[in-house]
Amino acid sequence: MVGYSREKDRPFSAFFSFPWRRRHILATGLSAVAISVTADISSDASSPTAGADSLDFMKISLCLTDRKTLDPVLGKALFCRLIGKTPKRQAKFGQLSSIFNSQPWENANHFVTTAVKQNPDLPPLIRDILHGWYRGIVDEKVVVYRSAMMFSLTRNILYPKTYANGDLFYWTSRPPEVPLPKGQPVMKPDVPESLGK
Amino acid sequence: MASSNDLSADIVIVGSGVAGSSIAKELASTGASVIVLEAGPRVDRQHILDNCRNTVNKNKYDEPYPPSPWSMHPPDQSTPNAYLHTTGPDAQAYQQSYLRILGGTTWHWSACAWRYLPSDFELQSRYGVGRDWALKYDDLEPFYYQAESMMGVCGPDPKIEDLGSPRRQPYPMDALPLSYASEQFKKLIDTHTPYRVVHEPQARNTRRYDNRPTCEGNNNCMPLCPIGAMYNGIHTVMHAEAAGARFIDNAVVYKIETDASNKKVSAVHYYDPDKNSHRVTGRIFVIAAHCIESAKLLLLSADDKNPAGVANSSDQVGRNMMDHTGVQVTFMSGLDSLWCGRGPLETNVIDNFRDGSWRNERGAYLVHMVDDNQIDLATALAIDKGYVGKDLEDEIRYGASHLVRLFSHNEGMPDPNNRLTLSKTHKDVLGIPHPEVYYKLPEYTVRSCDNSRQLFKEIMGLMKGSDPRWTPGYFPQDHPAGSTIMGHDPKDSVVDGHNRTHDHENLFIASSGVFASMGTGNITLTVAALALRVADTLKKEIYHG
Repeated sequence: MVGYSREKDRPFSAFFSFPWRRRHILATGLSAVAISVTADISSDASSPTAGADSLDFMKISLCLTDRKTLDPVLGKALFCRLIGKTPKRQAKFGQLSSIFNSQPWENANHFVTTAVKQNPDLPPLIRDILHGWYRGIVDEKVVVYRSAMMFSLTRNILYPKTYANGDLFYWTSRPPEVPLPKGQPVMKPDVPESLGK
Repeated sequence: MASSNDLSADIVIVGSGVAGSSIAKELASTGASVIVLEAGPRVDRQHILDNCRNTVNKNKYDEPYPPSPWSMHPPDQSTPNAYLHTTGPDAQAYQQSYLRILGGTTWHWSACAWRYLPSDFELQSRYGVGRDWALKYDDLEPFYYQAESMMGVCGPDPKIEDLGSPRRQPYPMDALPLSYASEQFKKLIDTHTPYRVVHEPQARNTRRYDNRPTCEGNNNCMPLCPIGAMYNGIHTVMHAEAAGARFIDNAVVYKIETDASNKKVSAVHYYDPDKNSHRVTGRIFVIAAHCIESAKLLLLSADDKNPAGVANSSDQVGRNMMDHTGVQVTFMSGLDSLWCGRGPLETNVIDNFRDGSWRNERGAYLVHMVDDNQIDLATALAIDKGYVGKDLEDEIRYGASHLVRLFSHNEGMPDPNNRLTLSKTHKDVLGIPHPEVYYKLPEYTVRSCDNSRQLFKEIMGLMKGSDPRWTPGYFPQDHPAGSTIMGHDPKDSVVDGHNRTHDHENLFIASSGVFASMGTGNITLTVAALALRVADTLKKEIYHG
């Protein structure tokens, strides 16, 4: 494993100033470093262990999304809304972190399949995290709109409502074909009856 | 409760939506003095746009427009509701959405600008059901064109796509190009069914028009066009103000006063937000405060001379409530990717069911494949189905490119039992009762909705659709009408063929309340055309006696 050395005098907030790369998490000992700098961001969250939790939140988020980078500013906002300011989720998040830190994971499916097997109460929290990152919504509040990750999946094809690309009648052009996905869900479905109606 | 008596005008208009503002513009342009009283505040587009972006469910069109305490409007379409109280077996189906702000409800509309068909005005004569209007299509045709020019309507060349409403002039602008998704839908329907998909006429710019930009396809027509390419009543408000009309916002009219003879209206009274009362006198009065609020105001004005309410000797004010109650389904298409949601919300329509001999037993309807951006629904579905990681992202892309929504506008029918009354239990901060509506869906409409559902199943089959998500029951289309119904006979109608109340010679109603049938297609263009016809009548009245 390649060690990670924190730049001298670099404030902890700098950790949130560049895209988080998955390899930083999976291939370094970052979590050990994080423990020593929790005080820098603990003021952003209500829990005394918020610093460590927020690092775990970013690591878990990278894993859940199979992404190599995530927006650190959004990550901070989501952590505060989802975990830091919501005591009811803190215990569950601790359980999720504990499983996450117990071994290396190949990908999101591997992690979630194992986590849910070990603790069947975790899917709501996992879903809440994903709703936050992809839709920008936490507890029926908009945390972020245009930067919600779902829009990165349709960039230059579909635009967030209220935005457009400025090209005259762009909507007449043929968009790309999307093949039928082959993946399978790894959690039991929990679709609200009213969704899409 | 101070009172002032310093306001007077040739024309006093209650309501500043498309109807009130267009009459104000026309009359002010001739030099007449015009006062428009609007219950709600002025709002600015940027502020509403910010609200839109912070709304969780982008399909909740009311949410970016929070009501003021003194000018409540339904905050949402849920039942029970904080303002519009609906009762009866189909209470949910009449949970209408509308706005009480300067410029009116066309702040949020889809800009579909249909002319009614000639048959829509003669339902009783032609099919033996419902009622006839006290005017014919030909009476309204010139005003339809005037309304299309005022609003900036684009539509197809009638030689290529005849929409069934005879025209003397082409649309002011060329039709909006269909989106890729709509084009594929059109090919499918045109090829595999006896039906057709046509371009929907829209009050939306396909070129720079009336100093407004060309549509950029922001896919947010409802709840708000971010750039003003779509017509809103506020555009006509601005023109009317430039012509000299005076708009007073936050002026909640609560009483219409008649003279000693009860033949004429002499004044209206309004509250400001502090409940100071003001009296406004005039020569001619126009109530253009939306179907529901107009009827509410007439009922609210009951006094010794008009015990059932102003203009209500027929007892028809508040009765005959109608709508284009619809059905809706969202499903996953199994065909090639469509990517609905690129461009404006509604560009295509199946129009085969707007008229036919079957209208003697079931209502007409039209069908939209909505060009609504489905990515949020696709994302929510994929997450809730249990996908994570890369598989989740693949599911989101697939859903966003394959989800399709169909909905219908189904024709209502006037029934005196479907009735608006003043709530006995709910009042606003000014002490004015909320509106209450009893609603039972007419069987005529139920049969029409059943027919639409069958068609939707047929279309889903053609599209190899899966995972259908039907909106339960029936849902309101926010096209309320009938509350001040038009007719020749003063005993069973409120206004005549010129929108003049039978009871009071200088009182006119300009709203969808005067509709005697629902037809199909959005009602706003017909409301605007009727209002412009009222303006024409008033010009003659003022200048030629």
